[in-house]
Amino acid sequence: MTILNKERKGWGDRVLKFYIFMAFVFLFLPIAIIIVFSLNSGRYPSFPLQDFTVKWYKELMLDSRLLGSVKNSLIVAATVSFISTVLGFMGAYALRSYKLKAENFFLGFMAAPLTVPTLLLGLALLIFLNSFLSLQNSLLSVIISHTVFCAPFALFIIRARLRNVRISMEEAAWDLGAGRWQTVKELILPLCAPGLIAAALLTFTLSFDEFIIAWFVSGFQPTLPVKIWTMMRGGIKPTINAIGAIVFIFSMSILLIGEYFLGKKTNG
Amino acid sequence: MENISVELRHVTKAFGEVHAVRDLTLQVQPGSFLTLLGPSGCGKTTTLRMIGGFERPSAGEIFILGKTIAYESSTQRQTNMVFQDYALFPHKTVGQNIGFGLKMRGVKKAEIGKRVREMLDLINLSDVYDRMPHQLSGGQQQRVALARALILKPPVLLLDEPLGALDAKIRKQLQLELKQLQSELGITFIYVTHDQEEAMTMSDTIGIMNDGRLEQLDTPEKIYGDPQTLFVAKFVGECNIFEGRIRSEHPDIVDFEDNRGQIFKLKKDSLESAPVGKQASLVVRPEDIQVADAARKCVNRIQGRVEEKLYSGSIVRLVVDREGEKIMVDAHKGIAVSPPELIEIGWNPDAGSIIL
Repeated sequence: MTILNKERKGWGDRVLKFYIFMAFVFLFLPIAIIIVFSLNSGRYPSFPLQDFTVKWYKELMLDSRLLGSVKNSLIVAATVSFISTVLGFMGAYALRSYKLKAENFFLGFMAAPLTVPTLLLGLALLIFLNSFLSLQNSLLSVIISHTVFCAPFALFIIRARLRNVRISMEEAAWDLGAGRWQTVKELILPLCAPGLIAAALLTFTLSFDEFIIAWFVSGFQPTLPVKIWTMMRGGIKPTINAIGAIVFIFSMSILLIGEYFLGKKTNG
Repeated sequence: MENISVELRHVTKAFGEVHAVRDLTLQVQPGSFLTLLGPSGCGKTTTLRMIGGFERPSAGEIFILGKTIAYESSTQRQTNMVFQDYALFPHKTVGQNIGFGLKMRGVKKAEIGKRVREMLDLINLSDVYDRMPHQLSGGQQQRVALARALILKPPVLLLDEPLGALDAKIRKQLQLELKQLQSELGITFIYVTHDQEEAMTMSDTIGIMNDGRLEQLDTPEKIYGDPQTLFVAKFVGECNIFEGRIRSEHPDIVDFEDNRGQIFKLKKDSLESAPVGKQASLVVRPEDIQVADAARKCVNRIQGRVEEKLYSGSIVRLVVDREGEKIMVDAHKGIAVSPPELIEIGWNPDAGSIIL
């Protein structure tokens, strides 16, 4: 019996491993193909492949409007990430410090922007920012809009981290003469630093890669995804593959660093 | 007011509908070791946390050295707390942990370093200055937590089951060290525990708490030898309880009649008044009861059948059956009785106490 079980287990294991392998293939093969075509000298994304080239990348570097959109995206992503992390931390710390009766209700509200279809969110934000706040479509609009869904995201990440800081530690700091702000500075911030870094990196990529909302509200200052979309309307050029490859590797790296900090444990 | 370290006046704490502490009044002498003892949920930790300023009383007042306690201005605090889970800061070294309070008070770095080393010497941990808390054993962590609280030289130190998480051997050793440290420094200790043995060995005064109320506040000897309530009698040590009433009163002696009509005599000294006819309980500790030959000389005697004989090291626990009533007796291990022998047990008027 034991031998049979072992064999069955080995067989099941192999199926599962194959399944995971296939899942990753489906996830990453299209992107891998983009990277491959970005290095292919042929004008059209079709097989067989032609010569190896980096000319599409060179061409990118000469496109000042594209580079401008990259700059826009970096400004937006950095600002959104900073504001979201600060707001997220403040929200998470407040939730921890004051026992809210309607905490779950409140959290549900916080999560709402993450669950509303971005198309609706983008449209709603466009109307709200234009008609109610009379803001011209600009990078500021994109920053506000992205913060709307990035701040809750940061809050959830930081809240999970803050749970590891025992209340008694905070009480001990207070007991030893630390005020509210000193407790935050000496205890809370250092202990949830990995959560803060993770939240900052993940919200950065969320904002950097976001297209739909940015398309609604960016106006004449397109972010990179909006710019790519405009370029694609004139046909798929090989340069787009090159941008895709760069953005993919960039976002992926930031995500992986973020995940590393998310998984990091504090001692004790 | 100067000669009272901590005073609680009619303190009540309610969490919503639940009363954690009810109308608690007590005074603590400076330099004494008070233990609040009771089962979990009796309100002892809540009381400690109110003295420490972590919870506000729903009613009543708390004074430390004659002043009401400050909840807000934390550096003005007169107490420091040692937490059950140590609550050491995991990202700071041992030295930084111990020096934290001084740093918050703006003491200069060199001075902090000097005083932290003094504290480490005091707790016999001179060589862990630069280590992280998680690199220390549980006992060492608890000592560091103690040093961190003591470095501020508080007149009152609060300890919330500080030895609860340690194993028996280290606990015994730290009990001794804590007691020595307390008498050396002359600081008032208010200690919370559910371990009666720990309370007995360490305290000058024990306050027994039950269901939010202070049942008895007394020396360990009095708590054990002269419990004022049935709860105290049952919670501290083991006892035999006879239900009955007070039959008559003499100059030194009270006659107690149990429900079977037998009369037991006992000394009156612990009773302020002995209202004749009142329902009462007679408490007799197992070790105060004599067996066989010794019992024959006793004033109060009972016949019974030995039902069980249980060895526990230096003594033997006999369970004696008195027509359905079980009486526990601790006898010397050499005792020559065995079940189901019929024997006589007895005690003199100076053993036992009456609870009204």
